[in-house]
Amino acid sequence: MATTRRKPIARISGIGITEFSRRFDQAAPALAAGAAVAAVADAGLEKADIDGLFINRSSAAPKNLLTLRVQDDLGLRDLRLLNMFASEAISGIQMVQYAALAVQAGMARHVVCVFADTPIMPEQTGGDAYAETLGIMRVPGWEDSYGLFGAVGAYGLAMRRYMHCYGATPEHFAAVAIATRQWAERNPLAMLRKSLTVEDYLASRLIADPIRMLDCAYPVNGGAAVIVSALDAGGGEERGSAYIWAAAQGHRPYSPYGGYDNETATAAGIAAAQVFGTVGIGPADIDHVHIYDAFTYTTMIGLEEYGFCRRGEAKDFVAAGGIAPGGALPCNTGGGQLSGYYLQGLTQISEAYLQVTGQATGRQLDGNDWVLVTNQGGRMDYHAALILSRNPA
Amino acid sequence: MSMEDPADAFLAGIADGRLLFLHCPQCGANLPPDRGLCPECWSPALQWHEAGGGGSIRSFVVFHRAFAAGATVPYNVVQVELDEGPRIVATLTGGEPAVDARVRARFEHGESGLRLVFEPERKGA
Repeated sequence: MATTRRKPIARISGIGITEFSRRFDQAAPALAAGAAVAAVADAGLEKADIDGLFINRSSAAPKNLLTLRVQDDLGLRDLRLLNMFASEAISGIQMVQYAALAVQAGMARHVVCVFADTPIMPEQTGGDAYAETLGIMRVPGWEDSYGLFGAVGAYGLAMRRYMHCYGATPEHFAAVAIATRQWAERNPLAMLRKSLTVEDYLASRLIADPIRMLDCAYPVNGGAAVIVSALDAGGGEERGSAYIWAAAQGHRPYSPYGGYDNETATAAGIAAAQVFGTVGIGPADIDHVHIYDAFTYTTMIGLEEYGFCRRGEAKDFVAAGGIAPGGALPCNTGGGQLSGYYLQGLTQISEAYLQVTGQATGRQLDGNDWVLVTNQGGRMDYHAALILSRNPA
Repeated sequence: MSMEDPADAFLAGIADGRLLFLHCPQCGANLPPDRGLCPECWSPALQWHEAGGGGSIRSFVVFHRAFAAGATVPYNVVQVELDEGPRIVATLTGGEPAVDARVRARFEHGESGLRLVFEPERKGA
């Protein structure tokens, strides 16, 4: 078990979020630069204050979509820290984690952590962008030859297995989609704000049964950046800071043999034990949670893996309104990736920051002492988590 | 094991009507046909074994969106856990898939040679 630490390691001192678009209007480098400039201004900092830059490109995007050249676009001539993050969808939290450690160690004072993506291109829909096979067997072309395309293939297999093992039904996943939409209805930034019923969910188009359209994240073109600042550096005076009390990771390969339950028992538990243990708190202390929701299934399993529900019981918790507005555990209060905006790890980080700093217009929560943020990626191989607080001590 | 890419050896087996998997003599693990190193004990000396063909459906999906040009939907993709342990992605023919249902491997002639499919195991088979 980790050693309990009773003080934060760093802060998020500002945020920049671009406009979101379902058309291709701006390339990813321009979106990244726009988000970074906005974040620096939001923190009340200036260009010369920035001495670190972390960049995350979507693993589904072409390699040249977003590169280290973001540094050139921003004209950052005196950086002491620069890196691209390529750990699939956990890169958002990884950027914040490593930036926090770097500023704590004195390697930098203010690190811009930016994600931008344009899944929607002139001749590519959002769905096409994620059609590339997420392989299970490492035999080239094997999954393609059977038509197991996209993340929906691997995640559909996992969701079906969960449904079989624990008796979850489409109505249970509808409850996740509806609760997340209810939060989105309150968030001016969210893309999908029309109220949703179980009937709407059940009528939504099947993509890879059991996954329906409304089980999937909503792709947008856009970018977001946060500034991670040293505790004793300036920034964040006007809008406030979210204090980073703990960051942790947990990883385990998808292993299609040997009785491994890749679908329902992931390494999120490793990240959970570490992140809670670092602060000396548990799931019952969390005021609200932001669980990576590329699919309704990842919200469901995340509730169990981070200890909010026992194994197989998240379905009952969500069906009883547990994660909806007014529920016991507000979850993805900006509408998440399902109804808010899909900026991979930055979706959950951005909403948690807005809540903690009291800027969550329309859906602001009172309790912001302990906030859990999670990311996950691959075929649920990779996990990362943060604990944020409004409290500096 | 030879220096040959394990995936190539597996595909050569399929072309020959044989479903192969890898066995680690050092720790006893039965592995998917895509490894050069035992991920359990790190032994590089893996051996090819031929599967008996029986297994059960670990999970499945039914695609309703045609991601590939010319695909006919709906179609199923199953992940079968062979009785020996490795899990193989393929499709089920001759029945509707269900989790934990017993299946058997079969080879059918496709456009580019033999193709692995699974079919429901018949009672008494």
